[in-house]
Amino acid sequence: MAFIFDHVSYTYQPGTTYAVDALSDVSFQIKDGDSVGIIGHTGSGKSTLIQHMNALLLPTKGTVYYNGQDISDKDFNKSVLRSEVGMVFQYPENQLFEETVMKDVCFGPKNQGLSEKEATLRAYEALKLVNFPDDSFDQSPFSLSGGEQRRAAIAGVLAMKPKTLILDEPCAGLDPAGRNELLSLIRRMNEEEGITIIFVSHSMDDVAETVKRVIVMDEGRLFMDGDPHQVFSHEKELEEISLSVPPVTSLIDRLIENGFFKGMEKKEGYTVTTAKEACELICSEISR
Amino acid sequence: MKELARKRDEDLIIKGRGLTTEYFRRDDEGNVESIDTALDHIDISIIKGRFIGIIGHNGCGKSTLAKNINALITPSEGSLTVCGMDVYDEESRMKIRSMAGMVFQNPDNQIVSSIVEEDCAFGPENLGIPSQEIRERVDRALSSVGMFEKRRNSPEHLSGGQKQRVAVAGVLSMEPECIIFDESTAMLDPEGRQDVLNLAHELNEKKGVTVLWITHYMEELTGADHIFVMDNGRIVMEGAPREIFARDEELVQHGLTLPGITLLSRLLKENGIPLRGVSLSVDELYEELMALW
Repeated sequence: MAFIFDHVSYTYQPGTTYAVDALSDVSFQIKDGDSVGIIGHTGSGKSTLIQHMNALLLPTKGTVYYNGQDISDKDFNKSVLRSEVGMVFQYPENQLFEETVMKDVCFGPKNQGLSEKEATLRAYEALKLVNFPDDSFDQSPFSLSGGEQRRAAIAGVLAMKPKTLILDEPCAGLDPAGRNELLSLIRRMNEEEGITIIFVSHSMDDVAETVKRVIVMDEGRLFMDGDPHQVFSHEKELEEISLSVPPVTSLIDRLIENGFFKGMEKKEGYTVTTAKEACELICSEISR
Repeated sequence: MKELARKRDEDLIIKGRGLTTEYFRRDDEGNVESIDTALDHIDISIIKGRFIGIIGHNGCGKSTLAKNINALITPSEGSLTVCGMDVYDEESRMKIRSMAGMVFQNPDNQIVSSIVEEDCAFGPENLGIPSQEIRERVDRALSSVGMFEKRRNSPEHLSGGQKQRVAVAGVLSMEPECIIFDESTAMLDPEGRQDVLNLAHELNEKKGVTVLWITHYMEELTGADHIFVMDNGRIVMEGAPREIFARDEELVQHGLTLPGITLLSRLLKENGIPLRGVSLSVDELYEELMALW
């Protein structure tokens, strides 16, 4: 079990008049190899939540366990946690700083105490993994396009060989091609490399096509937790907390409600989430 | 014939001919190492009062075009007039910046004051407008973006969508004819995104403000009057949303994708479902499918 959140609450500036409860009584577990999307509107507690997974924040109340150990314990080794749980912040390219892409990606593994040679090898593997063009390894990161910069920054985190990768809005500002490429990279890292994925996003489409499980946050509470087909079948509840479902889901739901599919009732807790699934469903109905 | 041509020209709020921008990359000694052509001899005409969408992949020249229109940079070559003023004319440049306002991606980068109404007053103050009129303009601008109630708040405690509203009000208080939204929704949640997009449409319809909406989200353009697709510093496609989205193979070539619903209608057609054309919205595709039954 990678993470267990046990009745976790977090308050910013506790005991002052500015105290804000960012998390209240949140409990869930994340297994090794899971791929989890976290959605919720601005201020719902998503960022506070993921910062607990990296021990950047410690719970005010309750406990967060990483591999069975309480992260608030005095003798808990935070540096091990941080090298195993890689964090890709929003706009990670803002953190690029070295002269060349290669040097930048080597920074993390070198910090972990690896030799120059080992670090270079790790960096090479990571850059390959994100499909970074070979002839740009020695370029300045600042001469790259936005999408390339983003991938270089993600490679910098991957080079530390994390077991869990947390990505906060990784697609913000990317063009559609860059977005598709990054989403398929995230899926590949989960399916082929077995890396646990925590994916924070505002885009329901991106979440629906990338992860196997969705956690919905609202006002610091865990609002829903399930696989995307389940979660997105609750369109009304999601709308009440200012979220939406993918447009395709909304279309299919309306078709079902209005009798487009003969003899098909709206199945409790299941819906389609991608254009491909929707197409199959409609075609099979029409050819019937 | 002559008169028709002139009339058309007057209707144009933006007119560029052979517009080119080159960025020079220099080495340590200041010698030119290479030249990036960000805009490559573009001809562009935008009619007053329209809602214009501009899309294209990262680095295609969208933002460079916006900066030219806003007179933040001067073209390397070609001509460009904005609201009838020549961008090469030093004296017009300040005027152009207030006539063609710009709302950027990150709301935190464009808010300068610690009180909402002071922030909105920053623009007109710089234009040297009498303070009584500034007062009126700011109140009007904040009301039209629905932030009047929060005029005495600190922008710090506003949500991303609300901050963008304040940024829009700041632009509005300069009474522009045209507002350029340069990926203004990229950092917002779905509600905030819809909010800012609706606001842009409202300003366009009610106040006749010409809107240039630059985005990576194709679904935000379904309500636009006209779309320009850019690639490699050139305008490679232009037309109404329905025309553009119907040319999906070309879009993919230019590094773009179809909105989810349009993709579905495309897939359905490929599978032999007799739909009329491409659908742009859930409502449209729903109606068409129900009509089939």
